[in-house]
Parts: sequence; C-alpha cells; structure tokens
Amino acid sequence: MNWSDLGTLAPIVVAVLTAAAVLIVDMAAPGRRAPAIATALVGLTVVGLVVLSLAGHTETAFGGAYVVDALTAFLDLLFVAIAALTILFAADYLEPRGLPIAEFAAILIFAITGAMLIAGSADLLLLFVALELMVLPGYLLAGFARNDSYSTEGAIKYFLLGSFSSAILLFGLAYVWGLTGSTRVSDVAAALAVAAAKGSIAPGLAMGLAFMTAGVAFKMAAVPFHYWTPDAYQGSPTPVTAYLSVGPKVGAFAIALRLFVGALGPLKADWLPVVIVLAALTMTLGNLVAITQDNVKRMLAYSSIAHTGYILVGLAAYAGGQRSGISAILFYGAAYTFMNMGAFAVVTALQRRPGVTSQISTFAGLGRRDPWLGFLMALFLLSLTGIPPLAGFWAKAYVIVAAIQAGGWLTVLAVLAMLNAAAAAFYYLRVIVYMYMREPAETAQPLSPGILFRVGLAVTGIATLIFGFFPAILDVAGKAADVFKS
Amino acid sequence: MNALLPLIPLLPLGGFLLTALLGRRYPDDAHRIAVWAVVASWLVASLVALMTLVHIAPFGPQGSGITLWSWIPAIGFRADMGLFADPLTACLLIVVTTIGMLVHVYSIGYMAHDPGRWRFFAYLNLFMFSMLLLVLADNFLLVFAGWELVGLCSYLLIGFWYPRRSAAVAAKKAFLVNRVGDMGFALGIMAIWTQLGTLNMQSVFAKFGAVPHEWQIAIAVLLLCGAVGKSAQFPLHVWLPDAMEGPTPVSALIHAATMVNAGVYLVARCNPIFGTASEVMVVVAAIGIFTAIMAASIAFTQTDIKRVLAYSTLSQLGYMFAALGVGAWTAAIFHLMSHGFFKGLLFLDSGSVIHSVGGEQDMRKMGGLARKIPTTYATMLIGSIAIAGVPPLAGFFSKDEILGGAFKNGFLWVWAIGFVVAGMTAFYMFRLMGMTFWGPSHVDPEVEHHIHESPRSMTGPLIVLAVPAVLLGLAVGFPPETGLLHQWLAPVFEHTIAAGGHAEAAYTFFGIDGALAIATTALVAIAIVLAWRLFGVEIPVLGLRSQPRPDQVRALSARRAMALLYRGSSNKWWFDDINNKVFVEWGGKLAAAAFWFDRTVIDGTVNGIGTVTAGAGMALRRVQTGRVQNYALGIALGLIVMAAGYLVISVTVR
Repeated sequence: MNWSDLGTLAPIVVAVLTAAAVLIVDMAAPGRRAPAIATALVGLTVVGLVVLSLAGHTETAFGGAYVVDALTAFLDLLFVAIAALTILFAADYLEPRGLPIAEFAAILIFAITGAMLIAGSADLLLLFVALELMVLPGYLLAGFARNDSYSTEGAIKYFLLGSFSSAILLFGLAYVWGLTGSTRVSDVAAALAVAAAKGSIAPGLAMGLAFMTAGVAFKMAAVPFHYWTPDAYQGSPTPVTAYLSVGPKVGAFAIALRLFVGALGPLKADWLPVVIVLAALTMTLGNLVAITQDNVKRMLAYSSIAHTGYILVGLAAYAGGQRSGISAILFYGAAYTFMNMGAFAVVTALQRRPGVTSQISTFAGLGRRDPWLGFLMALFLLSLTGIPPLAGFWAKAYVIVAAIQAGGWLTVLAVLAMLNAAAAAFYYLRVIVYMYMREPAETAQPLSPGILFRVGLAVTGIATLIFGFFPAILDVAGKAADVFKS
Repeated sequence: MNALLPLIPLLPLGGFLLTALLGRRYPDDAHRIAVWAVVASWLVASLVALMTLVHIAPFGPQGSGITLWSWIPAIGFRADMGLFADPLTACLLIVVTTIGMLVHVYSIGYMAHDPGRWRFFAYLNLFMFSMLLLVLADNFLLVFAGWELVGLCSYLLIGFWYPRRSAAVAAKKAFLVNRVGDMGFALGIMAIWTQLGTLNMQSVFAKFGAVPHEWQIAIAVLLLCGAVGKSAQFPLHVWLPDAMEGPTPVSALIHAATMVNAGVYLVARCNPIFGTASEVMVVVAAIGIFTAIMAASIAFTQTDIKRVLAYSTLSQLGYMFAALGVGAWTAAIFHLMSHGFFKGLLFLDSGSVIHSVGGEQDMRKMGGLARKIPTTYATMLIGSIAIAGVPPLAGFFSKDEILGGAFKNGFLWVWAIGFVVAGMTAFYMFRLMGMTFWGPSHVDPEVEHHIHESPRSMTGPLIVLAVPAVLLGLAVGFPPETGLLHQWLAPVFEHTIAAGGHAEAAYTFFGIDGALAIATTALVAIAIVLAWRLFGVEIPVLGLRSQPRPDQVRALSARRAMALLYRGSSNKWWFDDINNKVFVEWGGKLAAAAFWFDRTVIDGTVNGIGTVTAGAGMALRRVQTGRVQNYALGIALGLIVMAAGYLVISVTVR
C-alpha cells in the first residue's frame, strides 16, 4: 500500500472517519441528537463529493484487488444516498422509542462502507471480507430495538441464516480458487475462459457455482433462499427495514455483477438456466405471498422479494447475450432504491408513535388525514407497480426489453415478468384504495413528521418523478455498465 | 435564441401550476398570474413569429429547433423533447397566443362572479401550454401528448359547470367522440414508427417517399382520423355543438379559434405525407366540403345563439379541409387565421350578449339589442360581415382563395358546393344578427331593464379582435395569391405543390379569378338582403324600411318540401339520433352481452385463478414457520437441487 492507494481508497477512508466522528461527537455531547445527525449527514455528503471527484477514470489499489471505475462510482453514490435517506427517516422513529441515533448512524455508515468496498472489489477474497463488513452491522441494526422481542428474534434468525449462507458462499469461492489458482477477478475470468473453451466444465466447478449461486441468492433474498426476509423485515424497526430492503439487496447485486458478470462471465452459459429459474420462482412466489398479506410492512417485504426477481431478469438477459441487461440492473437498482425507501418512509411516519401497527387499516383515509403523505405513498406504490411515467415503469421496461431482445427462454421470462407486474398491481393498489376510499379510524392521531423526514421524503418523491419523466438522467447507468465491455 | 422556444409553452405551464396551487387561497386575485403568464408568452411568441417571418437568424423559412433532452431513450426507440418553429408554426403561434391572451383578459370580466374562477384560469393556462406544445413539437409523439392534453382541457372546460347535468354529459360526449379519432392518430404514429423507425417530423417527411405506397395511404388515412376527430368533421362532428355547454370564453378559444384548428394544422404540417397519397386528398376534400354544407344547413334553423356559431364553425372548418384536399394549402392556413380572429370575435360577442341579457341564449327571446349594447353590436356586425365574405374584410380574401383554388385545381364539384355554402353562411349570420339585434324586443320584461353593456375588460378584447377581422385579409392576403402569407408559407408547401403538379397559376384579376370573386360576392349580397328582408332591420337604409316577417318565415317553412328540409335542419339531420340508435342502443346491447360474457366467463376464470392464487399464497405462507432450523433445512435442500441442476447443465449445455 502506498499514498496513491490511499487516494483511490479515499471514499472508504472518509466513510470510516465519518462513522468514527459520529461516535466521538456523541461522546462529547451525549444524548444530543442534532450534532450526531449533522456529523453523519455532512460526512456522507463529503463521501459523495469525493466519489464524484474520483469519477471519470479507472484506478486500482492494493495491487489490483480494489478498483475504482464507473461502476464503483455509480454504486458508491447509490449507497451514500441509501445511508443518508435512512438517517433522515430514522431520527423521527428512534426518538420516541428512546433508541440512540448516534449509534444507529455509526453502525449504518460502517455497513455502507462494506457495501462500497464490495462495489470496488476486484478480488474474490476482498469481495467476501467486504460482504461480511456489510452484513454484520446489518444484524446489529435488525436487533436495534433491544427491548422488542420481535426485533431480537428477527435479528438472531437473520444472523444465523446469514452466517450459514456466508459459509456456503465462501465454500464456493474456495472451489473456484482451487480450480483456477487465483482469487483475482481478471485471472479467474481468464482461466475459466480457457476451461470453458475446452467443453464441459469440471464437476467441481459446477459444485462451486452452485455454492456461490446459493450464497448470493440468499443475500439478495431470491426464492428459495428468502426465508429470513419476512421475519427480519417485520421484526426490525421500520427505518431499518427500509434500509435492509435496499442496502444489502443492492449490495448483493453488486456482488452478482463483480462475481458472476466479472469473474464467472465465461461460464454464463452454465449459470443462465439457473438464473432464469431463480428469477421466475422469485418474482412469482414473492408476488403470490404478498397478495395474501394484510400487514403493509410484511407486504412490502414480500414485494421486495418480487423485485429481486425482476432484477434477476436483467442478469439473465445479460447472460443471454444482451449487454443492456447490466444497465437495466443498475437503473432498476437506482429507481427501486428511491421508490421503495419512500414507501417504507411513509410506513415509518405512520408508526412514529410507538404502538401503531402497520396493518393496512392504519392507512385508511390517509389521503385526507395528510394529503401530501397520501399523495407520495400513492406515487411510490404506483411506481412500484410500474405505472408510466414513473421511475418503476422504466425500470421494468428496460429489464423486460433487454430480456425480449435476448430471445429464447428469456422471452418467456419477460412474459412472466409482465404477468407478475400485473398481479402485483392488486396488492399495491389495495393500499391506495384504503388511503382514498376508506374513512380514517376515529382514534387516528394527526401525523407530524419532522423537517428531516420531510426532506428525505421530498428527495425520494422527486427522484421517483424525475427518473420517470427524464429516464435519460440515468444514462450514467449505461456508462457504468460499460465496465464489462471486454 | 432558440432558447426562446421552450419559454412559450413553459410560461403558461408555470401560470397553471401557480394558479392551481395558490388559487384556492386567493380567489379574488386568481386571474392575475394566469393572465400575465399568457401575456408574457404572447410577447415571446410574437418575437419568435416575427423573427421567423422576416428571417432573422436563427429563425427563418427552413425552420429552427431545439432539443431539450432525450425524452424516451428506450433501447432502439427514441423520442426527443424537441421544439421546432417554421413559418407555419409562426402563423399558428400568432393566432393561438393573440386570441388566447384576449380571451384571458375577457374572462376576467366574464367569470368575475364565478366562485370557481381560479379553477377556470388554471385550466385555461393548462390549455395554452398544451396547445403551444402541440404547435411547437418537433416529433409526432410530442404532438400526440399535446393533442391529448388539449383534449383533456377541453373536457375539463366543457364540464366546467359540472353540477349541471347537460354540461357533464357534453364533456363526456366530446371526450368519447375524440377518442375515436385519437385512436386513429395513435395507430398512425405507430405505423410511421414501424415504417421509418423515427418519429421526428422533419426526418419522417424527408424519408416518406421510400415508404411503400399502401403504407403511405394507410398512414395518411390514420392521421386524417385524428384530424377529423379534433376538428369535428363529419362523421365525428357531433361533439362540437354540445361543447357549447362550456363557458363562452372557452367556446371562443378552444372550440372556435385554436383547438379545433389542430386537425387542419396536422394535415397542413403533414403535407409531404398527404401530398404523396393523392387518393386520400380527395377524401379530405369530400369530408370537408360535405361538412361545410351540412353544418351550414343546420345553422339555418338553430335558435341558440351559440349553437348557430358552433355549426358555423363546423362549416368553416369544412372549408379549410376542402382547401387542404384540393391542394390549396396556403388558402387553408389563411382561412384558419382569419376564421380564428373573426370567429373568436363572434363568440366573445355572443358571450357579451348572453352576459347582458342575464344568461339567456335563445335568440327568440332577444331582439332589438343594437341600441342597448352598441359596442357589442358594432363588433359583432363587423364579425358577421367578415365571415359572410364581403370585400374587403378578412373572410372575403381567405374564402375567395379557397374557392379559386378548388376551381383552378380542377375540383369543380368542391367549388360548386363551396359557392352555395358561401351564400348560406351570409344568410344564417344575418338571420342571427336580425333575431338578436334588430326588430322588436322579445326580451323578458324582468330582464329588459337590466340590460347593460359589458365591462371594459370584455369590450376591450372585442374591439381589438375587430381590427384583424377587418384588416387581416388586406394586410397579408392582398394581392391575392401573391400576398405576404403566400411568401411566408411558400417554403413549407412548395415541394408538395410542385410534386402534386398543381403549379399555382398566376392570379388574373380580369380573368377567371375575378369572375369567381364577383360571382361569390353577388351571391353573398343576395343572401344578406334576403336575411335582412326576413329577419328585419329597423334602421332605414337607402329609404328601404324592412320589418321582420315572421309570417313569411313561417309560410316558407310550412310548404311541404320546405317543411321536410326544415325538420331535417332543426333536428341536425338526425345525426345524434342515429348515433344514439346505433352506438347507444345497439352498442349498449352489445356491451350488455359483452358484460355478461365478462362477468360469467372472464371474471369466473379470473376469480378462479385468484382463488387458486390466494390458496397457493396461503399454502406458501405456511412454509414460513418461523423456525430457524426449518429455514436452514430449506436452504440446504435448495442448495442440493441447485447443485444437481448445475451438474446436469454442465454436461448438456455445450
């Protein structure tokens, strides 16, 4: 490591320093929320600026194990946005429950640091370490409401199953190392290209692929490795659920891009059928179960599984020969981040007072109780459904178009994705029906979200609209996808 | 300077947003933002139009555009948010923004006591944005967006007084009938895309010759469907008369001077498309001239002042379509402009009349208003003379060019019908003037002593609009066929005209052109005198003193042949009844059958699937036991299946 490496690593260094600074500020002014929140937000802004200043050219550090390219920059910015939005939404929720915001912000930023490290991993070992750095703080966050037994239970399950799946992934990585003799992504890809050219791959490599696929599928909550999701999502404090539904998921897709597209790209003919099956199962089962849910938080948890399925369609389209599948994944990730966080934020706002459930009946008459909140929730839900001209429409459209262009079985997958999108309308629109066509409960209290919360909500709402009206704004997704040109 | 283009539609859009957001809170000042936004838009539009017409770079005869951003960059598909202005756009900009601005000013007085006026001004601003977007758009998709938006505004404004059932029904009718045409337009756009792979207008026109001829015809017919719906031509004309349920300024702006011209604009803009599909051109001419005479005949017997004007609008739009169909492109745009001004004037006048007699629209309960509301009377008389086609007012020149064009391009039948319609126009307009302003008063005595001239904000726009109604023809249409307008629009139409073989013959005043003009003028004069004799004027002219002759009108209508014609005319040739029978009753039965099918077969299937789905969902829910060991087992099983799958794939895939 030398000084130039430090420059390349600057975003990560600043992120770690920010998390440390938040803890120090909290020690200096214990119990005061404003300084900690301000430190975290300013720090994240600086991280974002550093990422932007590095963007535009490719640099490597640690002898090539870590790389900063257009893809890293795109994902880093997305992760910074996720962290900042989570903090904005969390402040209002944690305070009435007596939970410390400073600790929350610090843990969150550590998790994001791991995610950013994943985004730039060019080495399988670093990839695994980065993954653990991302998910370990996630377990803490899931159990952040220490006195809530559901939160603790969800966190334990998440931790046990997460460790199990991490081990599975590591086992798969070990197979690859054993068969190729390297952990460096570019070397692995070169060795596998040679192996693939010879005909059928070794059975050991097939086993390794299975282990790696299972490990990554768990992290992105793809069926049948999704069991942890509903329990962890429902038990966690709602802002944490908002984070878990986007942060680790986008992180898992970052792994998929670096590992499957980058290192295992030469074997895409092998993993394509598996990804097709995973995508089909994931979106169909996610939607089917979401339809039966009466709890909005749980419904959004299952719907996030369905969205994993749609994103997997993009991955399958890439494996089927359409490079536009990659940019479709990135667009979907960005659009999904904002609309899904927005939807969870509205649930958070409703649950500001402890004791309010996220049953669909609490949404009754929201359109009249708080017109702006109701309007934004409707906007997010319509976008998640995929109604033009909102962000979610283009996200689905790009993924599906890429799949259709790839042809073959992917056309079938595209049709299935469209049928699923139509089915999903049922449970998303049901919430809108409650918001606008049901009388609010007699006991409903006025909602008074704080200023930070409003800023966060405005950002998600505007992003959902802007990505919808000007999808060209995410042309950067195409540039980031060009990383895999060769 | 191209950055001026987006300003033109954005100013009213901003006005709309602000008025919609703040209007409810400041109801008394609701009009201010809206009116100033349109005035500002008018200033910019005038500047752009002027620069385009006198060729100040970057604007000029070949047009100049700006691409704001790539609107829909889908894979393999592309539509830009782009605006474009050429001389044709400039002409439309002048009409739309000038009349739009005057109608806004007029509405300050007209809507002064309406509690929903903020809503009214917000809608008007939204309409201005939509119409300007339609006119300025550089690709078909954006035109379509504007096209649908003006349709939406039209719907909202026709149904502005929605508690009144007839208004709500008329709004729905307009919306539904327009859907028929819009469907065709949308299909036409898709056809263009499949054939040419682009929607940018200039590239479509440049490449259109390469399209197979049957597709050329299909595209032209589909685009014509859209134009026929929006411009209310036969057989989709039925919505326009009912649209008069909206407030009168709306009738003037949307349903006389601007939106209904969109169809004419579309056909004129697409002249390279229609020029190559000459079979369709004949259809355009036939639809136009038939609508012209049919609507004029209905206008003869209507008693609602606004309905007479509505049918007159249909008839004049028919003239424009006829002009397009015979290849007299410039004449069509000329008539569009002059008609925009004088028909806008006439509608605003009728609004002023209605305003003064306390909301009465039935001309049988008017009469003798000339002295009581002199400004309205004078301006409306000017408008009537202009539309009748008396030289040297605007209507004379534009109508004369249409008839001359039809005659010289060999469409004698179009000319002959158009000639008759010119006489009919003069007759029904002066029937309207007679019943409203002349003769003894039939106004309800209760209302009689409340009659008053409208406020300044209403009479001001009337006087301003009277100026172009008088002078526009002399200013841009003289000398005929070589006037300013022809010079301006030549770059837009010259290729199509040259390709069509209708080289514009030189205008010969002492030849066929002069003879046609004199014949038309003579017919118009006879019609005016006839109307004057029958419906009366109390001012002695040249010693002749005419009294209204209701007895003669009645005697005429009572004759056997005339009675049939009269019944046909006053029942609007039973078009509404036919539509009612075919689409509402028979269509209703079909819909009922479809509904039954939908309820039992489709819904049965869907509900069956739903039940199965929900059942499957419930079953899957049970998998979620909450026990970690079960979950871990599930993951392990998934892993085993997957490993087996990979092993099978690895030996079969290559």
